[in-house]
Amino acid sequence: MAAQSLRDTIKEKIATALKENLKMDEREFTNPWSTQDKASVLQESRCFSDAPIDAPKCLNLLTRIIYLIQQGEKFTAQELTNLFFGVTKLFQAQCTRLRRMVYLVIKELEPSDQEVFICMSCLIKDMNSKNDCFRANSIRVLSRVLDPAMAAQIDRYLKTAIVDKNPFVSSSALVCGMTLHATVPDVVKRWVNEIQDTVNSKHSMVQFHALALLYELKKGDRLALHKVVTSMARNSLKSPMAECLLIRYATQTLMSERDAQVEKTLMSYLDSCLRHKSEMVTYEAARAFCQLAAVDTDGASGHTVLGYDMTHATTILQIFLTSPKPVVRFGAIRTLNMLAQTRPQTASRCNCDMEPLLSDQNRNTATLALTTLLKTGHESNVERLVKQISSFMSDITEVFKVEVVRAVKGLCLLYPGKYKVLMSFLSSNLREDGTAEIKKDLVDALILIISQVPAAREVGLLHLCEFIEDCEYPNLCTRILGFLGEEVPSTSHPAKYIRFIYNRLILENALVRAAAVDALSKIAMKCANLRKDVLILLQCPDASGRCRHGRFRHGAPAVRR
Amino acid sequence: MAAPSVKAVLILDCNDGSRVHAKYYSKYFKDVAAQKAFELNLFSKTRAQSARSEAEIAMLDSTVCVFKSGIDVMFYVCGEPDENELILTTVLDAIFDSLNGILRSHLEKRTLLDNLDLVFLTVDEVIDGGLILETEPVAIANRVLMKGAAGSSGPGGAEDVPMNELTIAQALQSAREQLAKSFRN
Repeated sequence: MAAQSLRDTIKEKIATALKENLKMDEREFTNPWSTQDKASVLQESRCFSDAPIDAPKCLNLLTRIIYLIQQGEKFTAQELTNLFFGVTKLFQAQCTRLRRMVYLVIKELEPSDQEVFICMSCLIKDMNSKNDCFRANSIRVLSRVLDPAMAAQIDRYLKTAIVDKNPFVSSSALVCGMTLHATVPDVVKRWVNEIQDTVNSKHSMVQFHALALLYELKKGDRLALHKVVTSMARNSLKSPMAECLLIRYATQTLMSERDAQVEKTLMSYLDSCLRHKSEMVTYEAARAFCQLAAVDTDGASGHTVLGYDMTHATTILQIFLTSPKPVVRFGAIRTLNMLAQTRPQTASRCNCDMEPLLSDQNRNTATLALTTLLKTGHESNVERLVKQISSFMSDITEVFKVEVVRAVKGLCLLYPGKYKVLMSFLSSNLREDGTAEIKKDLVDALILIISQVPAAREVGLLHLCEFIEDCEYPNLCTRILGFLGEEVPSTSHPAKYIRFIYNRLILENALVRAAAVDALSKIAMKCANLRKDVLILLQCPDASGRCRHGRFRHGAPAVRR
Repeated sequence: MAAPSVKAVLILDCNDGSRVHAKYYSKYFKDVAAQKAFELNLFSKTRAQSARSEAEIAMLDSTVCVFKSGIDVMFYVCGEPDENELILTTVLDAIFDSLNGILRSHLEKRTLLDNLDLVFLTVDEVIDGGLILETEPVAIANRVLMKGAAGSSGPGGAEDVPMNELTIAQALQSAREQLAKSFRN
């Protein structure tokens, strides 16, 4: 008895203790930044002018200001100006964390030329500070607020900063150069020697920025640019980011020039990049090969690009297709999709590794795999592909749907023997909900196949007839009726189709009815044995004057005969 | 041919797609309303995919986005449609890993909001006006905290403690805290 009551007490005590603990975790988390609105933040910002400056308070306030701007709060020009003036007073504080935020806030506030002069001397002082971070950050701020006159004045400091030992300072100066090049290109041009030196820096991002800035400087002068690109290509010490950049520049040069010497150097450079140890670089190089393949129409029938075998590039993409990383698989299939537009036979080498992607978790990847396979597919797997497409169509966007339809059309022309399964796919999609554009594409596809593949004619015409029973787009209906009028007379049993056309005559609006009359008349004119029946149909009473006119136009001569 | 660049960096709440931090570098989205519409759209398309260990990818409008999940927030890096996806992933990893190192904890909304200034600064150290500034997490963390700016790719001062060692000690502490929390529950 005693043991039982003891057990109960203990149970109760544990239950209460647990409840208390749970209550603690249930307390609402409030966003610490949404507690103050704009007005109170502006009010509090007077503390920027305090002496001495309360660093933690100001830091908190600066964070609030950026938070409000980020969340879309609108500040008037006057409010921004006042804030800016207040923030510039914070340069007097020595706290580094606060200074870093001041740099950020100035960039966010985007002060005008007239306002920024206040803090210019502070920024220039920081640009010559012993502290590397002050130097680098002040340069970054200056790149956003410098006017042309000021830029010319401080340009010697920036030039020195470019060749600074510290990579942060160097990168900041180079990035500043890229921003300034848009407004004061002549100033930046004077730094070309320093920039050229920095391209060979051992710091990976400094190389990248130097190369990008050098390109900006030289891009107007074609020959100079080629010199830069080819000499860099021969140089072998480059960071992955810089390599990717150079690959892009090399590709662009190859696309704009057909100089044999340049081609030799750059193509062999691109080929060597395919063996780089960084995935990012090999991917960029494989992409470059595919882009060049699109413009190299000479090699279009084979597997070469500008004389170089593409096999290595496609092998890399093939390996990427099986990567455990979703982004790598996506990138690979996207590139192959692009390649398949112009070189389907080359892309088809990767078919066996593209097929598993049809069931990839990432639907974008799966869709790309589908549209690619539709371009590179073989006759043997057409049925399998079509089965898988059907489960796709409801998920994918309009843009993709149009691509799929075009690809199916292409497949049918390529493999006419498979018309049955491909046409029934097109037809079943016509029955689904869809926009006018997609239905038009589907109808276009069916019409094209009917006209190119004799065996598909009768089946195709029946599909079209079934569609017009339910079509909500009169223009499309009219078009199909016109087509039927042309094609039906030469089929084996024209009578089969007449019922469908006649139904349009009694059920639809005037435009469609006119088209239906036209179609029936054309059939009557060419098929002597059906003339009597068609005439009876055409003599049915209707309200449209246009139809009656049409009837008399065709009907009268036939009767006389 | 443009240098690799970034269109936007977003940190969205996993529950409702609301903004924790959003920085746009492109005028493609004309105003805040358009930006927020894009974010909600992106969020609804990607919320189902769990991108815990590996980055995932999605295409939207004319933007390609790579993303990764924290505990209850999602990080996105968006680029032009023909951008090298692996470069975008490098940027994403740079932001993710450097924040992990600086905040010395798992990336959850509460932690990010408690240290919002550090979040702002980290993104600012990785990308400058759309251009990629730095991708090495140790260097980024040092710059955010205004320590010697060299990181591991250049000469660092003797007073710079490598972030790896700091992280191990702090990771142990954080693990202790996590254990204590789980006992409470």
